[in-house]
Amino acid sequence: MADLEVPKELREEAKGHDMYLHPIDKNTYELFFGPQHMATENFSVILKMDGNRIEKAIVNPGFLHRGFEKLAEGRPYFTNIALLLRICVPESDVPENIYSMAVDEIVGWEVPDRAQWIRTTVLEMARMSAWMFWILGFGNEIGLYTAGQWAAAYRERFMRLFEELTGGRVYHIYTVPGGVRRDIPGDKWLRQLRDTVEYLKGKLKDFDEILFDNYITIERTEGVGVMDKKFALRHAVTGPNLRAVGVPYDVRKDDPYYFYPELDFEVPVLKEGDSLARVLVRRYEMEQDLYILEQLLDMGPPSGPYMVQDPRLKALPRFKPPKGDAYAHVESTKGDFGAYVVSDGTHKPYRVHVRGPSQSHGVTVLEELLKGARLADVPVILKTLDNCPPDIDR
Amino acid sequence: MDMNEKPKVEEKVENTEETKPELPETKEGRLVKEILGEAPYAEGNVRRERRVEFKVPPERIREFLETAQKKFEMLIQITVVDWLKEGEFEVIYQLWSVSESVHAAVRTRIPREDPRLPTVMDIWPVAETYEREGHEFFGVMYEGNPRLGPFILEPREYEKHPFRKDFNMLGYVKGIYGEDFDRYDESKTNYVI
Amino acid sequence: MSEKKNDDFISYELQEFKLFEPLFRWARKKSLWIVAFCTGCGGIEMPPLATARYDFERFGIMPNPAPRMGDLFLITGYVTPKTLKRIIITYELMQDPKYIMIHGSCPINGGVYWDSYNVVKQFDKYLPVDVAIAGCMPRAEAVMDGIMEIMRKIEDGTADSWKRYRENYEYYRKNQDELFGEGWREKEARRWLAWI
Repeated sequence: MADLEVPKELREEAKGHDMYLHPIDKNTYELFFGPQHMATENFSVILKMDGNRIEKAIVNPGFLHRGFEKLAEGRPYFTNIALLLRICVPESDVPENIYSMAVDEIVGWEVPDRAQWIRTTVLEMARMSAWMFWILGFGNEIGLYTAGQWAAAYRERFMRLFEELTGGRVYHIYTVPGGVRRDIPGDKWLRQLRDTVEYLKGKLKDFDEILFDNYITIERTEGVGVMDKKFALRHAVTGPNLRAVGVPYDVRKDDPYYFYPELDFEVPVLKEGDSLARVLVRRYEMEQDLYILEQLLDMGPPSGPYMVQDPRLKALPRFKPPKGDAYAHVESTKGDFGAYVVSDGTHKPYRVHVRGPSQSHGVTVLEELLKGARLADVPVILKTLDNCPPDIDR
Repeated sequence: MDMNEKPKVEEKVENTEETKPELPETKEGRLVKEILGEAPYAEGNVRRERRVEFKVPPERIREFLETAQKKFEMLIQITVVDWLKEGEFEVIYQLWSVSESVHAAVRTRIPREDPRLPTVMDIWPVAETYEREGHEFFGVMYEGNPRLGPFILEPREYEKHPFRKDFNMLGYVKGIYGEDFDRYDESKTNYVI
Repeated sequence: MSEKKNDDFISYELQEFKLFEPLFRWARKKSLWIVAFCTGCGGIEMPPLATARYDFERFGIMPNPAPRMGDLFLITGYVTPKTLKRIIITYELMQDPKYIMIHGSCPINGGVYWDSYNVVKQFDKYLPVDVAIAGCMPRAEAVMDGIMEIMRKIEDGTADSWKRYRENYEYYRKNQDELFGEGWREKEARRWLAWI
């Protein structure tokens, strides 16, 4: 690209048309990456390229903006569950849970043990299915399609379990303020879940061979998109991306909710901060998540109601919590997912603000990491950051 | 439930003038005490375990956040709440301390007309994104942020600052996409979704 | 782009080829390539469709990122105006015959976002549609059913959205311009693709 000479008349014509895709000068040109690209998922990055090197990247989100926070102000509290869960598509239980936790705190409800157990299990199942989805995306980006095929098939096992528990495959509308919408279908479901966990435990070794310990993965990711600790903290990077630079921050440990204080699990931390470290942290977390699910199943669901006993719940559409505000967050596979809910005492929330983890690592961090990278590294950096565009747009 | 009328704001939210609570002898209490020692102009209290909050006048918000940055490494979010009846925007800087595991909400109030705040981009570079968003949806001017402008929205919606409470969403939708969307019926008032 | 008259383009239904038309239709139906443009949340049901459990490759369907090679455009979920611009340009880049299937309630009437300021309410005002699948989120089986429906329609020749787009280009163009403002192609679309 360096010694490409653009014909003069072409360049003149390009100026007349106010074109952007022409070479800006002799060596650089502007490249529109996405939204019609499989790696970006309806998200766009405008790259200023110098040959194969990226000089500058500008993130251009907004293709998925639906104005959730405005819409939530116009709907009653319980109806909002059916709306807000659409913020995070691969892991739709996370927005349900953060919103429910915040409303629980405003009302002052003590969620019954059984509901907490179910919520914990559902969150961990959602994490596991989101990891499988991530393997699919990441494997496809670096050309290891087999891993993706397997992961999509294993994800289906969780989809079936979700379907039996909640009635929906992708969008569950299951966790509501005060508890969950319905009880566990029965012991058979628990047995199936245990079978699935056992099955996946064996399959993780296969993923090691084909994806995580693969020469191609290591070559494509090692030393690509390096962050250091100070940079990551100042940019509010959370989740596995932060743990890959050596900060052991996990909401499940540091701000524990539900059954997590009683569970025994480790927070994997690596120090390198490159794409490979981010991939490996995710690999170790899958193991931990399976371990958590196993412990939860050993513990068994506590007996009791699955919803708080409150007379106000009889007239749901006119349910009015007291005035107040609350911030709640959970650990999703992307990072720290938080919601801030303000109630003014009416039957609709006054303000709901959702903090998607990709808001921090999908905009400024991505722009910084892409500087100086090669064009082929763009999907790798996007996927190892686990950028989820609906978080940014909402 | 009543979707067809303009959103309206009900009574005042909180009695802001509370008697100053005693700070408890926990890690949160000590943290608040330490920060208030350095920044006496602010008010602080402990909400519950791992939740603290501060109230800071808008002129000194930057100064305060510079102080708080020593303890709170991460800026998790900047939330803007539009209190239409009081004519104010409440801007909440949500901080998280990785070392102490404490969440802090730093609240400040600015007038709704000509809302201005200094940027905190140089303290936390991630604030750039949050401020762009706050500017886009509410029209808050963060002085010093060079990238304010249409970010998620397109210029037409951006000019309206759609998350403000006085933005009439249904009227706008009818104007843009036509009146014939089938969920909307003048005679009915009850819609669940 | 297609400001030419209807009879200017090479018709696939020339009189000389009338005899082979059933063969062409059969071939088209058996090799639908999908333009891989995940326009909304329905994109999450695409990987299960493409992989082991549902596996649409057995019907000759393949996701392909290049619009020039695509036959079927799946609108997977709600469409914001910002995306719709890209969808229109991508659709116009596709070669005839091309088909559109909309997926989920949101492109049909807005779905849960019926009062959102940033979601297009009736997708068929801006581009013609062959098959619509209701539901949020439609199950993978429903999507398969929609694809089978499109195959049936291709075979009996009623999947004619690409012809309707040519015939009623003024109508669609007028609606698009009403939503985006006059001259959006010249102002914005040229940024992405200089030759438009």
